[in-house]
Amino acid sequence: MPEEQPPRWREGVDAERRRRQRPAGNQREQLRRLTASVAVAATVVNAGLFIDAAASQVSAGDIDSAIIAALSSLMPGSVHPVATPTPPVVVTGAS
Amino acid sequence: MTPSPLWYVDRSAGEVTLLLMSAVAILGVFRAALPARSPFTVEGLHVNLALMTLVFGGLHVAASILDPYAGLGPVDALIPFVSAYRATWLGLGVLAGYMFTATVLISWPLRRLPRAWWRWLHRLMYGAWVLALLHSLGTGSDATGRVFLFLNIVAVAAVLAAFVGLRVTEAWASSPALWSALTAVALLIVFGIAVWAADGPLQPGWARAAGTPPDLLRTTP
Repeated sequence: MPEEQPPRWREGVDAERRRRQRPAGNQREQLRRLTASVAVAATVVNAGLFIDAAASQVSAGDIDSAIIAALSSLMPGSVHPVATPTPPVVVTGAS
Repeated sequence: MTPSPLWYVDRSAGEVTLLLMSAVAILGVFRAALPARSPFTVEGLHVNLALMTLVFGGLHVAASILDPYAGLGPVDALIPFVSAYRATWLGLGVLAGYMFTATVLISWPLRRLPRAWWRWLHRLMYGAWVLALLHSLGTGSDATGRVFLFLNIVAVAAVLAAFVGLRVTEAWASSPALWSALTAVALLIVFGIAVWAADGPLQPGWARAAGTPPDLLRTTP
């Protein structure tokens, strides 16, 4: 008895079924690890670029002020404000 | 007026969005050129990074709206070319955002769209990537920053190398004329952007030429 050919529609269904086969657990784990690694890398790069952009536009004095302001807000009275140079006082005669 | 931290979040998240878009494009090219090589991992990563791009893109847009420095509002972020701040270059970013989001959304009902339609619509991604690159250079206050410039050059070189080295090489035999034309177009676009950048965003005085409001010019590089 001759072997019967499968109908043509069957080829498409089989191909789709093969394509959608459940991936092995190790593939899922690999994808999860790769995605997590990229997410961490993107966050680190974002933080690095944030610092780079801010550092290029903020002067050292501004950074000092920001640190002092942060410390002062955490521990009031513990940090004295930076002494800024003041112009010399000119005494003009006795009062 | 001095920039707020949100201004720097806006800029850094924008650059990360462009880098992620480049990675998504490279994975898409890899998937199209070598469909039998780790299809689950490559396609899964392609999809996951596309969603991650939307997250960082959302952060970029949200920071730009919330930041008081450039004075951008929701209208500037939603409607292209109406902003008072570098309208043309900001508008290209808005268009890139729409095109990329559309590319992601049409992949959702993939199985309901005819495969040929989906493929052509999916190629919007290339257009979105080029517009995002132009936006990054034109609007970006960091175009001349060494780190940002280095990352942009790496991103462009990687996408171009993936397209020519994988996609074109793999498909060349099927239609040499078509693929040589596509390669020429890709090279011309990248060369054109490089020439424009060298003459525009990388030159002093770009902030004024790009359309920065006068009150911000004193504090904008």
